[in-house]
Amino acid sequence: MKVGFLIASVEQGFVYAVMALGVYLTFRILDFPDLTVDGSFPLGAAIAAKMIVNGSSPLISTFMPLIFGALAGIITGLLHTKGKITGLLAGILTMIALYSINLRIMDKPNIPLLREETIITMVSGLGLPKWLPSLALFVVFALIIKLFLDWFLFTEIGLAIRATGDNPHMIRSLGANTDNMKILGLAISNALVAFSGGLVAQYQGFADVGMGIGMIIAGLAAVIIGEVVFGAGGIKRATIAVVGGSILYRLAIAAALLSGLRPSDLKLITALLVVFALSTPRVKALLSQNKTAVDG
Amino acid sequence: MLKIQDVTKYFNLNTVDQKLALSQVSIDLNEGDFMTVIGSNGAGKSTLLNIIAGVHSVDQGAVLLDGKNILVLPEYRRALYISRIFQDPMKGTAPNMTVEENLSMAMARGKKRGLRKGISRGNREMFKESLAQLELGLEDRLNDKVGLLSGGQRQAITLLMSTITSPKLLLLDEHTAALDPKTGSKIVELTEKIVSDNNLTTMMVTHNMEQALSLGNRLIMLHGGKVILDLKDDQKKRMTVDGLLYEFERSRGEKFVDDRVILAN
Repeated sequence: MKVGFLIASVEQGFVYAVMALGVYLTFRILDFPDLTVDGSFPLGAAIAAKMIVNGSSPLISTFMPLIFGALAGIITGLLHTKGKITGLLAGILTMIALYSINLRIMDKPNIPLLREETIITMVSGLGLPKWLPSLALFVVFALIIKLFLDWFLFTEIGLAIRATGDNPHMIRSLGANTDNMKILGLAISNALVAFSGGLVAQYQGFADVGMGIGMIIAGLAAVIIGEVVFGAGGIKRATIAVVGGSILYRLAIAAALLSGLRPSDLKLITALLVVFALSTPRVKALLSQNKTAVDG
Repeated sequence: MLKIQDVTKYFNLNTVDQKLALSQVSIDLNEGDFMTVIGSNGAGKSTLLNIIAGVHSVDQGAVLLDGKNILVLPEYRRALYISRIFQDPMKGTAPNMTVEENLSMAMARGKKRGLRKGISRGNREMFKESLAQLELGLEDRLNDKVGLLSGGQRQAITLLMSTITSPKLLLLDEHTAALDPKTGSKIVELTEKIVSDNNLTTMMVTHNMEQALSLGNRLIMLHGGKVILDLKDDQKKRMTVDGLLYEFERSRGEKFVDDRVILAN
């Protein structure tokens, strides 16, 4: 039972790491707190689930969310850059709009995928031991996406996207269109988030219109835990830290459940975790300030 | 090369706060000219540079670079021709990216950016050589984040980034004012060297009158949005700080007021 819990947590760690890498791209690289995530995650789940129950190939159903997630990101980007709406609000607007769109796609709040052919049953058909297929699949996806980001963020466009988050003024003066860089970053980020949503739907056996609630905070938790535990030197270090952070976060959640907390308590736990991680440096600084004041 | 024709600029046009920032300013720069720009508070020095760089639009007039009207181009499109350095050494570099990455982005100035590798091996050698010429020990710090460097080092890198692609026009906006005197004069020295090595056409706003007189071959003085003095070559060589103050008081009938002006070093 305990080993099963452990494997499940690690599996979840890898599949949600795909989403967390998307959050890392907006939150850390672009310095853009993108709440679209709460809508694009169930969007991916809705598209994958609907396509699967309609009899599409599991492979196409798995990859289609990438395209629609990117579109969701582009809409947030356009609202922000062309519509001059603040980043936070632009993300919230897209997220709320997506709630209705997701229900339209699904026709009902929940699509079960039991006994359907999914990408996971496909891989299981290869005759692997029972615990392996989901884990292997998610490890491969998470690592491919990590490597993709490691490559992309060192290309000419990648450098310009990083500079857009670091010093937009400067990269504009070097001739990069920062609006386009933001839109592109948001598109890639939400493509990854929706892709992760589609995988999670197939993994847990259903898509639910409410499955995106608090997803941005879970993503942030993974990013921040990763930074605290594994450090965030360069890009390559930071992306592997996000994957590690995602796994640790799922293990922490599992531990919280084992200790007797209800699943419904988890959002509170996650929020507290993020508050703690974000405010620790500030609290530390305040404490040492007071200390020097007293000492001095 | 650079022709500024009858440029007029208002801020808050048609409101109670309407303010005339530039009034029919005309300036003509030849290729290789190095012009220093001085003027009292609110004379319009920064507005002038902002208009050339594309931060502000104009209400009247034209700005031609090599005969082409550049006012129709947005700021990021003008970057291909125009480099600009600001007073704040933090503004010209991305702090969380390495020296090498910053320089690589400068190499791509105004070009279409694609999926090629952002940092090429050939460039790396060139960066090392250029950095070595600054004599700040930066050639060994290609992989350090720029945020770890001092203000003077960052401004030196910004200078390198602004000139590495030999832009048509270099705009210097009091780029040594925020540095300590020693670092400031080092940056001025480097500026002179780089500008003359590459024969760059340059406009430099400064609050240091002696610097304005010792650098370059042209000098203009702005006041109340108008050019009140335009000196060329020999006229400029003969001019002194006292002469500048005299000229100012003569043409305006008032004292030169600039809370930051430095008469001499």
